[in-house]
Amino acid sequence: MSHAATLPAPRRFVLPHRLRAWTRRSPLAAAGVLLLAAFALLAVLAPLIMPYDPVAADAAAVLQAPSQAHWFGTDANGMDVFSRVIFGTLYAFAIALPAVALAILVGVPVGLVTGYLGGWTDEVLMRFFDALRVFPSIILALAVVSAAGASVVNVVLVLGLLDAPVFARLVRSEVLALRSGSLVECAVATGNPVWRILLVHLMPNTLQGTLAQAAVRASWAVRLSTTFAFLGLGIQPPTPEWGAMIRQGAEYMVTGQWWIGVFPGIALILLSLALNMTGDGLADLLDPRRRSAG
Amino acid sequence: MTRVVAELAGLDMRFGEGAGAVHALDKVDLLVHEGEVLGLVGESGSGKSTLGRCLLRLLQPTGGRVALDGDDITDWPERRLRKLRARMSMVFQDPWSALNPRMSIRRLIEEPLKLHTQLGRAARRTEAERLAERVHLAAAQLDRTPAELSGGQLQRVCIARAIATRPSLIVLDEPTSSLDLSVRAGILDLLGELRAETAVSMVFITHDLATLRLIADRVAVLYLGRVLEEGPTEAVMDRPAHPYTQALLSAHLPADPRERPKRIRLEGEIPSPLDRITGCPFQTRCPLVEKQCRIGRPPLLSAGPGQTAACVRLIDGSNRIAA
Amino acid sequence: MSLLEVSDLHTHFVTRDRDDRIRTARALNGVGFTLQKGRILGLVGESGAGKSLTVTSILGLLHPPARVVAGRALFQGRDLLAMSASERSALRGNRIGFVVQSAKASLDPLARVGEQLVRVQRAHARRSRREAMERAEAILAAVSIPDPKRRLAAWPHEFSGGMAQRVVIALALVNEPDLLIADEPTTALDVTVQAQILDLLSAAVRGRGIGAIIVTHDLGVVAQYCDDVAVMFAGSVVEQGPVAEVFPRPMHPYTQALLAATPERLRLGAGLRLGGPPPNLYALPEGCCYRLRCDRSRDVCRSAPPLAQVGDQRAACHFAREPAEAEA
Repeated sequence: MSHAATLPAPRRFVLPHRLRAWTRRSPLAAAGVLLLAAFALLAVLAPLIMPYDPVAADAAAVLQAPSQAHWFGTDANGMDVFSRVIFGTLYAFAIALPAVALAILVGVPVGLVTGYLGGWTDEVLMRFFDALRVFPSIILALAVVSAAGASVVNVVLVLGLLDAPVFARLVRSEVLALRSGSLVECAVATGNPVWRILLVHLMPNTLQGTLAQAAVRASWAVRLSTTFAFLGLGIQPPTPEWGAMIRQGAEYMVTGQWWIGVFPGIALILLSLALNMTGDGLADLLDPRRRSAG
Repeated sequence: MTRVVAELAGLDMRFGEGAGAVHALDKVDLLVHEGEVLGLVGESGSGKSTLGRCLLRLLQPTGGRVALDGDDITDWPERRLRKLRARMSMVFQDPWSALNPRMSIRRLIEEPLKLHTQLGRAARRTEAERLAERVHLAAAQLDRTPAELSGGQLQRVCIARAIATRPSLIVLDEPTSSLDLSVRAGILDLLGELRAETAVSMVFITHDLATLRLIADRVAVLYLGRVLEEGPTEAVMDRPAHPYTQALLSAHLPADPRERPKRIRLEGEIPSPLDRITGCPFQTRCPLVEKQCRIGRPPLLSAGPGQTAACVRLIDGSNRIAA
Repeated sequence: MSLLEVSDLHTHFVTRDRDDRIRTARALNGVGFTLQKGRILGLVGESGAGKSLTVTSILGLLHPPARVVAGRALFQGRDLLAMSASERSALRGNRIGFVVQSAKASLDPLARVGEQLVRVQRAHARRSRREAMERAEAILAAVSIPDPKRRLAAWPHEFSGGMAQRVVIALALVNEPDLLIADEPTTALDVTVQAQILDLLSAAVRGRGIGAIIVTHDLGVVAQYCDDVAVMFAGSVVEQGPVAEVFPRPMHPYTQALLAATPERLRLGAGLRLGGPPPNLYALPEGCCYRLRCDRSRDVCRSAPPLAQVGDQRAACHFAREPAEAEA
């Protein structure tokens, strides 16, 4: 007797089909990814796209409204806002990506270990994280950055460490879910050392959730880092960073030069939206319970 | 009698403390002999799974002694137990959650070899293929992931892992309960083959006495953390001494309409393990209960060759329930 | 007139796969059986055979993407599948009682047991609270719940598994239905409690002279409690008939294999027929759905099997009339 006919037809990977299926299942994620890709492209190609040097002051073209020559107008130093917004994308990524990477690097191991060990280690660390969360993160971050000195590296460090508990909690809850099945017990019974249980059996099974969360947290990091710059911490003008530009633009809002602050603001909103949509969509796609036909 | 592979002496297991404490195992004595299949049968709350886990030291008992191959392993730390795990293994009820979904079947079967033997890459590969063949898995399935296999096939993978290091003891915790009838038969058949071919001892945990008749040499009946009856399978099945064993056997529904077993109707349900009972744990449901049953813990009395039961009414032979 | 007559019932699951192709799982492929008043039918099969789905299809309890695409289910002469949703729900809980596997999950955790029993009565009949409460007490007593008057005021979480299942049976019976459907009513219970519940269920059905369907995977339950049996495989009833005829002389190879795998008949190492992979509902073979697992399969099995009938026993197999080799 042959079982061949009962096996499902071999699934060939057809990229256009797969993409269309994803788009249908989560149009939000598709839009997010598209927008995110556009921003990434902007960041990479910034030197090629920018019509002007983003930090070249031009005394002859100060506070010009959007025009053919300057699409987004110019600021008080006569710098081209369009070029600065594009270049700012680079800063947004340069801060958000390392910050999230740091948060994952710290948070994931902590979540793995506390979830696996349980007991008082778990209690102490989780209470500590709870305490951290009670503080408004902005105020805590502000305090630390102003104390430690406002450099890009410090901003990245603070954002990364502040966000580590989010990943720790996420991974811990996934580890607890895995523990409720027999995966961990089976690994112990087979004679796995603890490090192998953590790295081979638990971590790969928590990666999906981490990945989805990473995009959402990157959005948070972008917003917070621009907030810092807006408040004058971290990156200082005239560096083309969105937060710093919005701060500068705010001063001119009342006098009618709206373009200085509004364009970087829109860029910020779009990028943070793109990251959020990507994250939500990924969570949707990766969640096996929401997967209808496998 | 043959060599003793595993021994539990006065094993006690409590979860929690104070009023909320659950006494999962209450001074259990049990021997597992070389090459035998010991069936552990019990309903929910009997402590049968806890017992299996104490035997493999996946749990640290709160009292008593666990020994494997003569070594007292009761207080061994996990670091020391790890090497010992080559000599004892476990098969779980739910193969879907026991196997790492991100590993291929090949890696899953090779894992115990990697952890416990000096075999090189190529040798491990060959050995994994031999093991797969031993449990009747097709070679093509080695490169699949668990999600692509059926429950019965996954349970075969678990068995291949369990026998990979040629252990002296395998604990099987309800290995067929989550499987369909026709698949279940194949797994039991495989275990029967292993029993015939190797000297491995197996502890087969189940709630189904009928399955034990097929596979077990000896049976121990657990109820609320105590062994109420123990003996050769045939003897316990055909001449159950303890009233609980009699009731449990009579509750089985034969898949043959011509067979109408006389049923012992038990009142009520298994008491919560939170409630402490002095005397016989079965007193709340036993049709033969008398004053004596509520006083002291009934000792294990001989009920036949190799058969013992913890019922005071054994003394005057009034332990049979008239159906 | 039969109490329930199901014929040619087809239920499909239509979904899209990862490559956006439409996939149709043919979960039920022409299920048919009849139930007479005063009898208990056992609907038996392995996981994925479609036994629970048959019940939920008939009762109109399907959720998308599952959909009944064809079939009839005549209950007292009226087609349940052609009715409007409101007509059907007027029957459910009233003329048709339903008992599910997990009793705890089907009771409202925020209402006292008595209240739930009153609610289900007043949803279908004009009855005073007082009268409904009296009937609730009587039905709790009928399902052997001790001290029913006091238990009316109890919350669902205060009941043990077996007692909660009794309450669910009481809920299904309180409106004196003509048909009782129980989906795996004892699977979640301990063996010693299982017998109590099944005794109660069959006594209730026999005492009222109504019809009942017990969905189960346990052939022991069918053998001991049912009058008729319908054996399902891959969304079809492959064999049906009186238990007293089917169990001693199964005609379909699948029924034979299933019975041979019960602990009573199983002999280890006796070259038993191994269970093959579960049927792939997305690509069922043409002809007999069992032929890929059947050791008697031949070329003729590629065509749809005829319905062979011996007495009241019917089996869909080309070889149903040939004696099974080495059986019994």
